[in-house]
Amino acid sequence: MWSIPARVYAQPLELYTGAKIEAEALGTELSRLGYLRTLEGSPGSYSRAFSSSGQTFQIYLRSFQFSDRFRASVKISLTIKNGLVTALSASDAREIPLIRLEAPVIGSVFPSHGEDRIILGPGNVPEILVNTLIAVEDKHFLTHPGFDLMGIVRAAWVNLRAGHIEQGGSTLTQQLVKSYFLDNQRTISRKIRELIMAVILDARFSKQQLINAYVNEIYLGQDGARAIHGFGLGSQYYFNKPVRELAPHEIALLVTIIRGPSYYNPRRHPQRALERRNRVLGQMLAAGIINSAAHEQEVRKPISNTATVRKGGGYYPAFMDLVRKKLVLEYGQDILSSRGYKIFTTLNPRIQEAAQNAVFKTLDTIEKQRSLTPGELQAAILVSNSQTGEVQAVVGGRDAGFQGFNRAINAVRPIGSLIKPVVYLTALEQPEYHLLSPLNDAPLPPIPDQKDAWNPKNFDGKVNGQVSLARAMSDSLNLATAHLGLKIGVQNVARRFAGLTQQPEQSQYPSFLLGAVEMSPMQVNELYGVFASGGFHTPLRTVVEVLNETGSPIKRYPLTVNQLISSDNVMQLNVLLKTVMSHGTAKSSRFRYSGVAGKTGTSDNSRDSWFSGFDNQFLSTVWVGYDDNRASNLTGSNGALKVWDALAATLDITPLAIQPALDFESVVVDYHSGKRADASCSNNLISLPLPRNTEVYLHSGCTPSLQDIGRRVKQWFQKQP
Amino acid sequence: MVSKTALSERTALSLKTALSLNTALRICTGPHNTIILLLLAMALSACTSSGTYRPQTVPTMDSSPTRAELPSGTEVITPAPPDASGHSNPAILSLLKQSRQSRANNNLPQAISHIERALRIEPRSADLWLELAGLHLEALNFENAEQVARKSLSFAQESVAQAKSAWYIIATALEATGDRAQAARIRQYVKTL
Repeated sequence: MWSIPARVYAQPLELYTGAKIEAEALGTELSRLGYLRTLEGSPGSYSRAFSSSGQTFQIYLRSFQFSDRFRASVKISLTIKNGLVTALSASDAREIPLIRLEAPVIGSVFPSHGEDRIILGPGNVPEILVNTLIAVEDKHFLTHPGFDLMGIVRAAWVNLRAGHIEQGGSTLTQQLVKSYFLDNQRTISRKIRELIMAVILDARFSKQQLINAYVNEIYLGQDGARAIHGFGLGSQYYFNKPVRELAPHEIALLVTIIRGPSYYNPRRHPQRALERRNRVLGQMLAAGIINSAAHEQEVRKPISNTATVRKGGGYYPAFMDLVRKKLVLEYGQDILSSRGYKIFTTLNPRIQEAAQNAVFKTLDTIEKQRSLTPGELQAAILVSNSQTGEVQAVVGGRDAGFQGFNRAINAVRPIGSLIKPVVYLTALEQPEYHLLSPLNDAPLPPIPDQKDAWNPKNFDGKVNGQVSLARAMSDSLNLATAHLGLKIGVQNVARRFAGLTQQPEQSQYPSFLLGAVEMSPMQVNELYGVFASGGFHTPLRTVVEVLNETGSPIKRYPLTVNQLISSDNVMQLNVLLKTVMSHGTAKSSRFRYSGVAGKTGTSDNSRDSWFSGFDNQFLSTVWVGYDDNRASNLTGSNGALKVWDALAATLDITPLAIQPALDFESVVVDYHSGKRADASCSNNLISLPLPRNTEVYLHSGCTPSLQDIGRRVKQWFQKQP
Repeated sequence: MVSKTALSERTALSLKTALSLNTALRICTGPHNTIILLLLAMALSACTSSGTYRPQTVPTMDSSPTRAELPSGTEVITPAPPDASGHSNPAILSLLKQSRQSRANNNLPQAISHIERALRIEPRSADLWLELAGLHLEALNFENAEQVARKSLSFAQESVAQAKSAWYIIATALEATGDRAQAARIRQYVKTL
């Protein structure tokens, strides 16, 4: 009868002993799912108590069709202490190894005319709802033939006395006809057609069928481009929970909204909606649907928080955009908007919201500090799980709840120094290069007869002479990089870039070496994902599984990987990217000492500020700039890195583990000179993996240790024929 | 053929050993591919030689900032983070069990899905990646089986048996996709482990 849009779910929250979650965050998550904090005898409720062992939650979980199985509703008990789940058991005290909260709905793929609904079968429509609809909208529904002459007369009389429209004369059947077939013109001929069709419907269908159709069809509001139809979706939209869990005052509010979805919009006009809701509660009392004690209680309830403020938004247009693009290509819009598919995605709502907050808070701060016009600076973020490629969050712009230009996918901008890891990797893949190879940080030799030849400069305008490869990368030195790139060959770097980004090889100019190539934040994230996952390309995934309406699998999208960089080379590269954080252009990060890896990028004239960084599990790429491409004067480190920092502060950051390689040894050197040193002669030490027996000079002022001497002797002997 | 009883006789072994055994045996008993059967004897001998794999001691490479109090000549070594493949985590054990159950019911997609769920919790577990590689091999997704096994090898190994299992999966997958020469070289290499 209806076409049911595909419903899209985020990743469910996993609970197990040892899981990291604050009690507060679990509370938020439960209220996001519409759980009531009063442990009642029904699913969808919980209690929370403090004790010496921590905070104990008793949760009555709802049943749910997950991507891999159906879970019946179940009561659990879990304890959280110091941000860790310390105990998890069923109500009979049996330990549970792990359990999931329901996957939150984050949207649906509805047709272009924008209707969305959750279909309720006759058995799922609560009696109290049916009775209230009849009591309020159509007292003689069960007996009239589709229209109600007495009802019209009575409504006219009531309205005349009240001086405004207090009662409608339309029967439920007439309202159904109006919603199904007719436009909104108020003409006599339309009224007559409506009446005839109502009578026909009433003759053809049982009253139960009609009321069930009504419950699924009636219009309950507008959410952007999406029209909210039916009580199933209405209940989700206004209260974040299924219809069967609605309290009488919430049912009364939904019935109120029918009368005028925008006039009684509880978010915009809470007072007006409250007054009418209480009149509906009065009618429920009069009709004997609730008793006076319940009435007393219910009229005191405020219009609940969720009805007035949508907690957590639950609406992530930038991520949905990615999901829709992928699925429409595969299934077509028609199937997606009609077959009631269940689409399980990789979105992590907690990270998504942290990313949104990081964007708007940081951009506000930057604009204030720099006296920029407020509200103009833009940003985009893509966060993925680096090992599985699962997209955890996508922010397409500053106003994340607004379905506008999705910069995470569509802002294709010059990446500046983000290209450098590709240049250095190409070098390290040649046998003669290692992390201490000397590079020449000096102006490029002039090319005769070419006045406007490529003439790059370092960001600070300085020239550093001979520097180590590690420092050239960490300090993002343009001149040293240009020399290196020209030596190993621009086209060789271009070929490597093509391989790493899965793009066809392009012929490139030398300026390519310094990032004169355009990418979207999402593409950058996929490139850096190869580094973050230890050399394995892991395609970004948004959809894990698609089920049909009855819960049978239609398609799985498995995790796939493909090794593109050898373990030794990615190990060296990741040490460089960690040095960028600890000693280089990103050392202003508050995660400088956290063992994370990353790279800053700034395009010409500071139009684009980039940062891509990762720890053991999360890889986040941030772009900051203006839509009209004017200069923001933000570098990678004082723009995008600030946003990244704000986001990383909410994640559980762990130092990137780098697998030791057999043919390498750690050498401690002075960061600036790239020469062997120790704490007695340098206060800027780094430890770098070098191929065994690489000769490293001694930093000036350092005395050779016995170890050094031994090594020298050994090397001398090895060199003898 | 290795019977299920043979498997159950080994339940006395530690779970860890059993896991790698199981994976290797799965290669051997994989129902779909004759090449796999040929590997039976070899894989079995590899699997049963359970010994603790000690990677040669190489200092962990690290570039984290040095401490001022660093004694002269001391190398900056960050201890490797605790590896996940011990599976002290009951959540992971439960998912492994569910995955095996799905596999026993011939529902490979679901078995894979359970391991992917476990990987969301412990993404750097060599053991889970190995388990996933075995499932892809059994599902005849040879290319992904090879790559996922390589991914498993990129993390700290728990035992020689685990590393050998990964290499056997790679060799078998290569053989199945026609690269016999490389597969032979890998089998030769595995003998040296």
